[in-house]
Amino acid sequence: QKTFEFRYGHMNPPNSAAGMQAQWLAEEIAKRTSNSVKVTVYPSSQLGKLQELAEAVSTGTIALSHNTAAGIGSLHEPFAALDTPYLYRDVDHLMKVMDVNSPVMKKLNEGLVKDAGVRVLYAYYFGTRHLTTNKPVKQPSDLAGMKIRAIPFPIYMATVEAMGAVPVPVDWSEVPTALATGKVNGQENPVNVVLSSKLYETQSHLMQTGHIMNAQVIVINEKAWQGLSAAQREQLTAAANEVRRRATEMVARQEATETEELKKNKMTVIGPSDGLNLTAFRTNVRKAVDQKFGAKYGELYKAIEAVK
Amino acid sequence: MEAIPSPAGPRVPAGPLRALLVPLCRWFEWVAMALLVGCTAAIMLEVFARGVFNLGLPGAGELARYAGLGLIFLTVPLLLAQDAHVKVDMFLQLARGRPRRFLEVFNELMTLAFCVLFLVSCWWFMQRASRFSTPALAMPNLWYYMPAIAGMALTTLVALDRVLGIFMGRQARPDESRPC
Amino acid sequence: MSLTAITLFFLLLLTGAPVAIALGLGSALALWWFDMPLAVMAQRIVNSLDSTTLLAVPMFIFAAALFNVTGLTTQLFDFIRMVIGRIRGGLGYVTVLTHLVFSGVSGAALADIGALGRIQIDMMREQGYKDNFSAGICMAAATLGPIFPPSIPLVIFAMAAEVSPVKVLIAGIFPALIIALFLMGMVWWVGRRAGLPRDDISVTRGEFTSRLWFAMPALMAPVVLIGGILLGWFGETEAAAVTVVYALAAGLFFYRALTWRGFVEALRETVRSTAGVMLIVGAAALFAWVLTIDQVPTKAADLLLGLSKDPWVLLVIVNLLLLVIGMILETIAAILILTPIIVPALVAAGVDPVHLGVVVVLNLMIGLLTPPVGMSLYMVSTVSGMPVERVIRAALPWIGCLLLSLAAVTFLPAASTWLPNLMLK
Ligand code: NA
Ligand code: NA
Repeated sequence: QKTFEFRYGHMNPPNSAAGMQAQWLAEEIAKRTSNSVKVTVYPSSQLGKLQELAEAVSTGTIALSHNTAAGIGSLHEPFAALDTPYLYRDVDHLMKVMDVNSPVMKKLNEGLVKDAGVRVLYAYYFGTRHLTTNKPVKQPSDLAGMKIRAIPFPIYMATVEAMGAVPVPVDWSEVPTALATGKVNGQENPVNVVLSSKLYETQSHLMQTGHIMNAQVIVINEKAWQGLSAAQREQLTAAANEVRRRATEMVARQEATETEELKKNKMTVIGPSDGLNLTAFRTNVRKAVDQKFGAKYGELYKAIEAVK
Repeated sequence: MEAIPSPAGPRVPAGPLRALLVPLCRWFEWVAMALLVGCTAAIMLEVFARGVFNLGLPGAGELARYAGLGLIFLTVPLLLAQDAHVKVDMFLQLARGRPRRFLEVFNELMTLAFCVLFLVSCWWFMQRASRFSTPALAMPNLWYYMPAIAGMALTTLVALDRVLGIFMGRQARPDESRPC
Repeated sequence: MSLTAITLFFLLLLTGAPVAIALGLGSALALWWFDMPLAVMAQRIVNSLDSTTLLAVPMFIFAAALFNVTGLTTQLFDFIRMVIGRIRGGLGYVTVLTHLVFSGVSGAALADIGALGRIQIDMMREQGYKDNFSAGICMAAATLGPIFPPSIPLVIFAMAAEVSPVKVLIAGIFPALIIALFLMGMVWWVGRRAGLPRDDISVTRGEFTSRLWFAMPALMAPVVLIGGILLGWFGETEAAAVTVVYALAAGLFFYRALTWRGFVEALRETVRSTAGVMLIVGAAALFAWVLTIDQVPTKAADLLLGLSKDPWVLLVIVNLLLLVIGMILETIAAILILTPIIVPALVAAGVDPVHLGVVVVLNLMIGLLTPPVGMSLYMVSTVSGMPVERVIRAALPWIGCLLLSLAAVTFLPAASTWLPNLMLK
């Protein structure tokens, strides 16, 4: 049996959920393939930045990496649709869609392999994005004129805009300063990011808008994948399934405790029971998304809806 | 105000193509200068749009970075033509006669090798990545890398010309090496 | 592979090849030799330069060039000379203070040198200072930029270490003042020993007022910029572009001295300085990639941190490690690679991560002055036209002075932690 050494590069700190699951994958693969496939993890953007990493998997510079669906969208456009706001019924629905054997993912994966020479190995639940600001927000009109930092992907910009705010792109390295000086009045991210980057120091309120449910997509270079023996591919799939389950469980479990932690740090959490008009946010955002992306992704949305 | 003084002194080998390449380098520099204006304008547009019109412009930031990237690579060929790249030439200055000539030839060849490898690397990269697109403007990668490719292609020609020049024993006349 | 890359780099550097070529070709040949995909060469060089943060470099150089062609620089110089000209080594103190004020705007040392370096060195040249002194103090004072808030390296450290970015930013204030004091002490000492120049000009009240008036746009620039950042009008990188527009406006409407020719000259000078230095930055990123693949920095850190459990010993180890790493790695790369290893080990030993952030960043700022990969050295060489080897010699005494400040910042944790703990509970 041939042996392989794979490099797994990503942008998260090693002790974050994303960083930990990468390490788990390396360990599971080593265990299941009896060390015939060795994975070395390079965290914290050591080998490159967001999009660069996705491209590096495509060119084969590194074998493995992960990215949000929108990030993978730079390699094969339809992936961007998976980060559509208010798309999934719940985490379970998201994970069923993201299963590499689901009809939706099978088709997307084929396109990705063909376009970019990249294959989705697995995806896990990365978190649900909420809004943080410096004043209470209960309905879209409360956000009028407020500048909210948004990722410069079209779908993210459109979401923040449809929520009623002014979406403003700010480089992540400047976000803490921008929030402190008021260059932007808020931002949106899953709770674990709010907690680990200590954004509660500059932001007083967390609104549980849950506007985008993210999966982290782990990809492998297709040539590296095809180079493996059939047995090794099976072992990698088994490792992937195990890590996918553990990581999703961990993230979902921690979301509640992380929200409590934010409350302890004097953040006011506003959920539907505190008067957050989730229906209004949902209606406005869905309407805007249908207008802007309906023609392009309509078929895909239907297929996702159909996954039970 | 003068251009950056060349730390290596007047040693500028000039090949047969120099009369053609130097004006081309200058044209590239003009484009780079225009990109600098564009870069400033894009950033200011973003500041004004946000501050005055309460509008976030995702494309402006990307355009500014694109211009900032372009102006670097489009100026690189002229810097080589004028020997203005930063270097540590302490030992080169100490050497005399044949060793010195060897070092000079060696350096020019290494510069040429760098340029060629860069272009080969771009070619390899573009096999796959030419159609991938940027996040905000969905600009294809090939366009995004074009300033770098064009700049390094011209640098390769300049480097080649210098290698030819040094083997033909030609020194640049003052009017050929003087900037603008 | 790392060893091959390092050897080739030194070899090429010493034969007098351009620094960017020595770094880039050395790394590319190592990649090729070890059968790694060559695509990474173009990808890393281009992508590392495709950065919002780095845009501040051409912007600040452009602003400084505009200040030069409109005569604003000369006006500022005349005014400063009038105020402190009679003090021995006065311009040395002014250099430190202008960098300190400017650090309230900028978050990157290279941008600081781009903005202030040429003006300062030209001024000092005109007044009879030796180039070695001017180049040295300019580089040394530029380390203040990323220590005093705002600061990109401190924020990146905070994010990587998962400590409060706001706390780490505030933590930089007192250490920056300490460094400034050390640098001014050095100016005083050199002034005494080597006899730095002093003026014997005297001015009337009328002259004073008129020179103050003409220096006003320059003196007001930091007020406008720091005010704009604090009010949230623009961010760190954007502040650089605002400076350009400010310089244009001052040249057109206040001095009425900005000509088309002058504008084109400023553009030309900016693209040339930028291209020369940035190509080295890109090549250094490729070099760092090669070292990272072999996990050289990670392994070195793991090895050294295992040597002790005592916080002070560990802090000394971290300082030595970072000084060595800082010689060959670029700042941001070094922070991203080493933070996840250093922080857990030192926090377990009882070191405050906020204090550690300031120590790490100061170390890497000193690394900007240490050869062979010292971006400040190359930047100063570019803006002043001095050969690199002379710039390196000029840097040596100031590295000594910075090491003393580093010792002070390392062994006085309270200087970093007191203010943030007071302001943020
Ligand atoms: Na600063
Ligand atoms: Na260094």
